[in-house]
Parts: sequence; structure tokens; C-alpha cells
Amino acid sequence: MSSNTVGGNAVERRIRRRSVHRSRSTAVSVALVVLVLVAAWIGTESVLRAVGAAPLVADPQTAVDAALRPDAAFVTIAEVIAVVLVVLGVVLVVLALKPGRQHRSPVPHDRGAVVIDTRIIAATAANAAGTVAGVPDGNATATSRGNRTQVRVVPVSGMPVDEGAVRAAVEERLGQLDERFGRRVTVRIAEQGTLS
Amino acid sequence: MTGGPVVPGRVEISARALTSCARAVAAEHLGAPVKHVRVALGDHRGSLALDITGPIAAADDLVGRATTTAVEVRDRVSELTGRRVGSAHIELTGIVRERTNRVR
Repeated sequence: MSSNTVGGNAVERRIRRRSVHRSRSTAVSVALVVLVLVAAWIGTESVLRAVGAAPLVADPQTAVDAALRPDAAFVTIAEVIAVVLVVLGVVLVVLALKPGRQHRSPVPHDRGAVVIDTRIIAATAANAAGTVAGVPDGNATATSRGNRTQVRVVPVSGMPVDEGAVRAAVEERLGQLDERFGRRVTVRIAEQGTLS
Repeated sequence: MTGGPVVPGRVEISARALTSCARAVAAEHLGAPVKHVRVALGDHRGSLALDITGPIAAADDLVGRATTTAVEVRDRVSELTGRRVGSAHIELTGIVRERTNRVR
């Protein structure tokens, strides 16, 4: 589902996009802070070396020498650091490429950007299903993700529930929110019912 | 239950009420006092399941009577409560005799 399908002007599209997708600023901030710290440390060590003071951790020349002529201990440390960096890199790449979609959906509205939580869609579906099936409130539950809505109905013993009627009612009710929500509805009727 | 959107609201029958109803019906058809009849309700693949325990009125063909009683109770409970009754299981615990001693 792209937020562009709903329409509206550029600002509204942008607001909808920002509401539906998670911000990446946290990951960017953390990565930049780490980068700044490493750069500051290298700079500090260079200055300390230039003025002839004792290094904070290791002076640059010693570090480069150790890297060029590795002994056993240094290789182990380097491997550990490399593994950590690879994991961090993979996490950052995943964060950058995944859409980071949150549990919200944009709905069309003539004024402003309207975004609703998927729990509202699920509750609407459960309510429609429960009303048509004639079961108590707790017996109809629904989950919604993206455009897909799944409804589960536990019938009351001795009151058969028509799966097709429930599906039609849920599709109709969700279609009132937005036509996209009513398209992919799955209904499951539990085999065992409950008394009352 | 009228669950359609035409009539707002819903009629719910509690499990207790269903049990009492089934118990009265079972006692009537078994010919036994209500206090000696026990009914447990369950679910049989979406239909109501009755589990009746109690004595039966003395007769020649007890097994045959019990079988017809099961069918009668099933139909009557279904008719009264509007629920589909899937199975009626009867467990006989004894015989109820008509009073034979003379009334003085």
C-alpha cells in the first residue's frame, strides 16, 4: 500500500508518509554519534602525538605498526571487532532498506491527512462480524495488517454461523472506511462453539 | 437470537437458563422428578450437546423408551430454545415407580 494512492497535496502526502512509516532518525543519530566519537579520538591522539604528550589509549604510529605486523592476540581482537562491525552494518542496512511500516493506514478524506490505527480496522471488522453472526462481543475477534483482515468467530452452541454472510458483512463495513480494506478478508469459524 | 442489523440488540440465553430448561424437559419426558435429574450442556461440533443423568419411569422396554426419550428431549429443547441440538446422551440411574401403597 502506497500512501500516494490516497491523493491530496504534497504536504498531506508527506504527513501521511511520516505517520505510516517509522522515522530513521534514531539509527542515523546513533551512527553519526559513533562516527564523531571515533573521529574525535583519532584527532586527539594525533594532537597529543604532535605535542609529545602521552597517548590516551594508543598513539597512531603504534596502532598502525600493530596492524601491519599482526601478532596472534591482535588478530583475535581484530576478528572480534570485525564481527561486531559486520553485525552493526547489517542492522543499519536492514533499517535503511525496510519500509519501517507502522500499524497505521491512511484513509482518504477531502480535508487534511487522516491516518487510522489498524486496531480500529480490526475492531470494526470484529464488530460487524459479531453483529451478523449473532454472537456475544468476545466471540468475534479480528486482526488486521496492511490491507489484510482476518476474522475469527466462535459460534454460540446450536446457532450455526454462515461464513459467507459474515465475510460479506465485514467486507461491506470495512469498505465504508476505505475500499482497500474490504478486499482481503478471511473468515474462520471455530468448530467448537461456546454456551451462551 | 435475532442478530441481524434490522433489530438493534441481541437476545442472549445464559447457560444456567439453558440447563434449567433442558433439565425440566428431560424430567418431563423421563417421567422422573426434576430434583433427581441432572443435565450437563456441552458443545458438539457447533451444536448443543445434552448429557442427561437420571432415573426413568418404570416401563417394559426401558432401552427403547430411553432412546425415544432422547430424541423427544432433543427436539423439544431445540424447539424451546431455538438452538440446534446435536446430541442427547442419557445415562439412567434408576427406576421411578408409581406409588403402590394404598392411600388412607
